[in-house]
Amino acid sequence: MTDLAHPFRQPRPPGGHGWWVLPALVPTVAVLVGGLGLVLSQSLGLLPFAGRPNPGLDAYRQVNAAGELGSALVVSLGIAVISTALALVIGTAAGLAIQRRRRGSRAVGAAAAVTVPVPHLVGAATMGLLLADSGLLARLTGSTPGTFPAFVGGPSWAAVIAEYAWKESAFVAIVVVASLRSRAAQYDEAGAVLGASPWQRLRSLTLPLLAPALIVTGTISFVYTLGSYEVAWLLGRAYPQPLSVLAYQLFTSTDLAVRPQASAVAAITTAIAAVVVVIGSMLLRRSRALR
Amino acid sequence: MMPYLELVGLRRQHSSNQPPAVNNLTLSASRGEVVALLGPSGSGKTTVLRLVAGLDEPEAGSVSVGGRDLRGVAPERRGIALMFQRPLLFPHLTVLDNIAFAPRMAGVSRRDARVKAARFLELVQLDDYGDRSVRSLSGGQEQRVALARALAAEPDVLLLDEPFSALDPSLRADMHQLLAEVRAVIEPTILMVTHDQTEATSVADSIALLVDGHLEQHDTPDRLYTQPASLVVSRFLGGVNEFPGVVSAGVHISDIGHLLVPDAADGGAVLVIRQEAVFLASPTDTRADAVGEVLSVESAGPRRTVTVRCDGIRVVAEVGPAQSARVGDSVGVLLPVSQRHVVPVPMSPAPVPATR
Amino acid sequence: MRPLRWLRSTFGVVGRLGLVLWFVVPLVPMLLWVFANRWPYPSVLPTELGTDGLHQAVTEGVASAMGRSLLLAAVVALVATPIGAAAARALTFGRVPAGRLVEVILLAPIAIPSFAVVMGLNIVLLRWRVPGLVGVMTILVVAAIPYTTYVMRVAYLGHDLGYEEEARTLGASPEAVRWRVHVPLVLPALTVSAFLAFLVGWSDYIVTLLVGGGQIVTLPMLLGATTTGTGNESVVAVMAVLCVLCPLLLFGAITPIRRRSQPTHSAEIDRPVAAAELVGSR
Repeated sequence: MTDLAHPFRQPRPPGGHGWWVLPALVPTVAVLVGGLGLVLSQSLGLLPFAGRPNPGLDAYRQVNAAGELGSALVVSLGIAVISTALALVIGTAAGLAIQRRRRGSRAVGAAAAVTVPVPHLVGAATMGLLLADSGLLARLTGSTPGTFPAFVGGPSWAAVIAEYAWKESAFVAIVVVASLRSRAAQYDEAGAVLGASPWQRLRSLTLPLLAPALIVTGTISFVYTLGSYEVAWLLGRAYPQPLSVLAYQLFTSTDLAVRPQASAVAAITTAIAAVVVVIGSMLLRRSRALR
Repeated sequence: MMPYLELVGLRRQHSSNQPPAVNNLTLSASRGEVVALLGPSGSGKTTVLRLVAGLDEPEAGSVSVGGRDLRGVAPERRGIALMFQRPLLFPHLTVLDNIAFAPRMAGVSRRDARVKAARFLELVQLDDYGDRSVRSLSGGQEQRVALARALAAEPDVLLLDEPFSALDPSLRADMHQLLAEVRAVIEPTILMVTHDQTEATSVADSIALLVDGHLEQHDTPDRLYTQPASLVVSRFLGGVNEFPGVVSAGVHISDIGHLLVPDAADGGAVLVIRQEAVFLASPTDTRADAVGEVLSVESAGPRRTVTVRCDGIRVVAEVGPAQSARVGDSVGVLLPVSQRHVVPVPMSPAPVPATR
Repeated sequence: MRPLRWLRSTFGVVGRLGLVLWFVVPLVPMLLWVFANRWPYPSVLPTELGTDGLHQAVTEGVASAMGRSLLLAAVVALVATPIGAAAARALTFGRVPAGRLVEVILLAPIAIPSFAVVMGLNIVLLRWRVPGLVGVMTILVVAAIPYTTYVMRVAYLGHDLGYEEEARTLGASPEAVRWRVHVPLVLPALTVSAFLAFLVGWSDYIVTLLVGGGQIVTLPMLLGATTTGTGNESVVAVMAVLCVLCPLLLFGAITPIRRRSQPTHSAEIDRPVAAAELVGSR
């Protein structure tokens, strides 16, 4: 139905035009495509600081040459895998505990919620105050200086893993509670009256029902941990460096010629994150296949 | 017959500042019997089912099946299956695996459980739906699968919580038919909650009427209608004719006159008679128990509800097209003796509102 | 039966206690250090209490750092919330070509390491002489868009356009409908979105570090710089607590709005808030 006063204006769909996505879409595309495009170009030698473009994989080869890339991959992936796994297990347990509404459930819910507004940097700082060899845990266990295990800055990266697991488990717990909120109790009762013991109900009903939520939160946590800088910087050790710290070092190096290597590390990190997201969405689709 | 399912003195209070949801309920069902739990919403019917299933604990009273006291027994070990109001089919399992759930939990191998499930799938006439996802089912199909799933648990007692209330009337009739067919094969003992009188009457062997957590009467459908134990029962089932008065030597004396009520005990009593049992006759008919003027005629399809005023008392009759009358007509009202029923009430101080 | 039940319920209580400790214990050292003037190893508790840490933090410029953080976070919240809400509404009710793709793009920043994006954009930011703070704000707005869009998307999925159409038939102009019907109905979700966007702006470290080169001193930057020193645990603790306190107070302030009931089915009341909570801890 054409508006005669404005013959070229389309009639308004009931919810308004689709144009309203643009204020959000344009900056997002500009920043993502621009940022990643430039990173990729620089890593491929297309945007040197001085001299002519020299397309090729030199930057990648150089950063790999010293073995730094390999060890960075091992450290970053290791931290991401372990902390995400811990976060999923602890977060699910917490989510179930909150949702079951037994004695103390609200305390668990409140405790998880308290960690929400804590920035990761602050979390790292306080985790350091807890786990350092002069930290609270060391004092509580009365260990003599030098005998406390090196959680902070040690080869196990334990403090880093602990901080990520700590924050991410709250995230998982909240998602689990939200996911179970509407239906969990009913399916649980339905299972009980069909003869399933509590353990059977957990394995055969609750966890499968939680699978999509866990896949999503697991993927998000993993990718975040992979690309996070401040926690690894504050609680980690100088060598080997995780990907984010390595990239930062190369980026801020006084030798500008190593910039493309920083971009190479950034590009590789992004590629791994993309692969993980793809795997996550495939798993998600499979878990939803029957629904 | 020996009672198979026995509820004795059940009491459940949801919270301390509310009246009990179920109060001193004693009820029993024989093996293979279908008992309908009928009552208005909030009367505690669902609570009773949850107590029997073990999902809630009673404050007092006991539940036993086949002589075995189930106090303290977890729901999964009671041998009782409950079909909820919503089908609650597990979305991550196929139709067949849903039905096979209970056998699997009991330790049957996956293959054997599926074979068993297929039998029950056939019983509810959804033979080829085994591999489907539960999302693809219609409402009626979902309920059938839910029924098959509960049956596959081979429970001693099957509990149904308004399982068909969300379906439209023709589907509901199909499900009643299905239930009858299932009963012919398996003969389960069923306790079924419903708020629909018609459903209760057509499906159940006996009806237990629950009002405000209290069991008013447990009887066959016929006796519930024609011989209500109390005015609460009569009113819930839609009876409107109530004549308060006194019984003396087999005669009920009230404002409408002297009516013969053989076998009734002396004392204050309200005489009730179903409106469907009242006949209209000509005002000069000698058999008429009272004569009056037609106040109103309301149609409901082919039936009519005729309200007649006799000496200031209203009598309501529900008649078919053959006995129609018009407003203002003078008619005679017949209250057949066999259909009269007296409900004893104390003389005073709790007066029953007169039907004036 | 009895002993097994007792064992299981005790196990449950212990487990729940353990979970509470897991979440709460890491915060304890920070709180203890705030008022600890002296706390030599190996004392379990501070030996001398005082406000030295607080004074020191003020000397090091914590007040202006907080001011800068507030400005940054407020701008991110004020920009990202309306554009996220507009996008969510368009995706839910309007006709958006390639809607699924658009939605994926808007959610993509969550999956992309921010340092990679910043390292790339730095080139153009420098060449175009974009002021550092502007660059940081832009990038953080894009980082916050996935949160605001998602929360508002869930809210709009439960939103009944019938209210607005009804208002139109009652004579309300489009502007009146927007401000008197539409916005009040989605206000709880809007405040949650704004809070999440605020948190993104407030908590950021790496983007501010890379774009500002250390010159833009927000509270996280100051905290980060202070941690590299030695013997100043108390100052670090003060800054850390201040860094948590502000969003915590804000969260408390929005709670009455957040919890306001909406005139829809109870399931829909839960959903926007639940979804917002779920994203909140990121």
